Amino acid sequence: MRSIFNLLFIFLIGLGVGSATAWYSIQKSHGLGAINIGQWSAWPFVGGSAVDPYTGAKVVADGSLPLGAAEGLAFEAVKDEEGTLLRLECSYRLEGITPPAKLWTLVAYTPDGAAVTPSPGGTSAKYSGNLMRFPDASFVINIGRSPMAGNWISIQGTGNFKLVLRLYDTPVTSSSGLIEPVMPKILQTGCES
Amino acid sequence: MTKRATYIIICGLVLAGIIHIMIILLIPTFGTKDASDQLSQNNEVWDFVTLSSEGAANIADVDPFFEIGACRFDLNIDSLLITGPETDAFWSASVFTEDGKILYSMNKRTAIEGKLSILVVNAIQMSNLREIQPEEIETSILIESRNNKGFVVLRVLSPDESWKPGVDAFLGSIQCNRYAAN
Repeated sequence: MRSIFNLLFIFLIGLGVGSATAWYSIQKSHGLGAINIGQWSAWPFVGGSAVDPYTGAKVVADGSLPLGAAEGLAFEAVKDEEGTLLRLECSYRLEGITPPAKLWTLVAYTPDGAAVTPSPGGTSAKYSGNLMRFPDASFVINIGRSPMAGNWISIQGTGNFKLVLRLYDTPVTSSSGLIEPVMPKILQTGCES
Repeated sequence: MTKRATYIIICGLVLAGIIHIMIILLIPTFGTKDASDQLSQNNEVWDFVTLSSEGAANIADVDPFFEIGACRFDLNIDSLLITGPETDAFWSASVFTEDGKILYSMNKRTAIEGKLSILVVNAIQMSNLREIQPEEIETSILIESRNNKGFVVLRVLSPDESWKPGVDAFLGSIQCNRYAAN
């Protein structure tokens, strides 16, 4: 009788801890197999055939169509510069520069992978081809509910969201790693309650 | 008693490690939410389909600035030759295996003469091609696949409405054909 209980305990610990760590390791944004720059994470090996098991499992669990290495690289952020989760109730300021690329897009997604519904008159995505920049090629993108001057990504609703910045035709995927890529900062500028 | 508890916990953790590894390794095989499953439900082999926004709704994290088209291949039947004309719009393509791994990717800039032309073959078809060396595929990129089944995904940049007619024309002229060397 006692040995059955012991076995049961072993199974409970095994199942519980095993599945919890497996789930956590593929859900976590700064997970295994990722390169992290500030709050941004990218999975550079997702685009090749030598993909590691964690990245492979993450792609399937996410249900996304990953970019090949020659196509580009996607960076994902779920937190702002202070480490707080991005929320649709808040407004943010994205500032800085991106690594070199032929073009890039920035899209706000809900956690289940659909694009965030923009508030009327806005879009929840930005393309590098129609972006206003400063003379030194840096830029500021305002993210929030109410219209803002300059580059504006419009969001509405409640809950968390994530930002995905995709660099297309970028040398980052093939670089030697000697130059650290620079990504824009995500600063929170206020929250509606 | 404590000795026994420690023993149980250690056994439990070893089992947890095994289960953790099993789950990670089995997700690609048994996952049903992934993009390749979505694609295979919606179209026939050799059929080039553009994923409308409704069709793409099942795929997570779709870039709204890109139009996506895909066609599946089955090398058990024949090789796949996918070709497209030159276009102004930026495009990129990836060859996926059935379990969602990327075999090969390219973009407009890395394409030969700026044209899309990829021939996907298996090892046997590859050795046949080496013998025959057909002229018509001289400018094609040859991809040898270990998996017999998979799909090719083509993404075309369409940043605003003014690009749409050109992009639609380009997607409309993509040919996904069975290819048999002879």
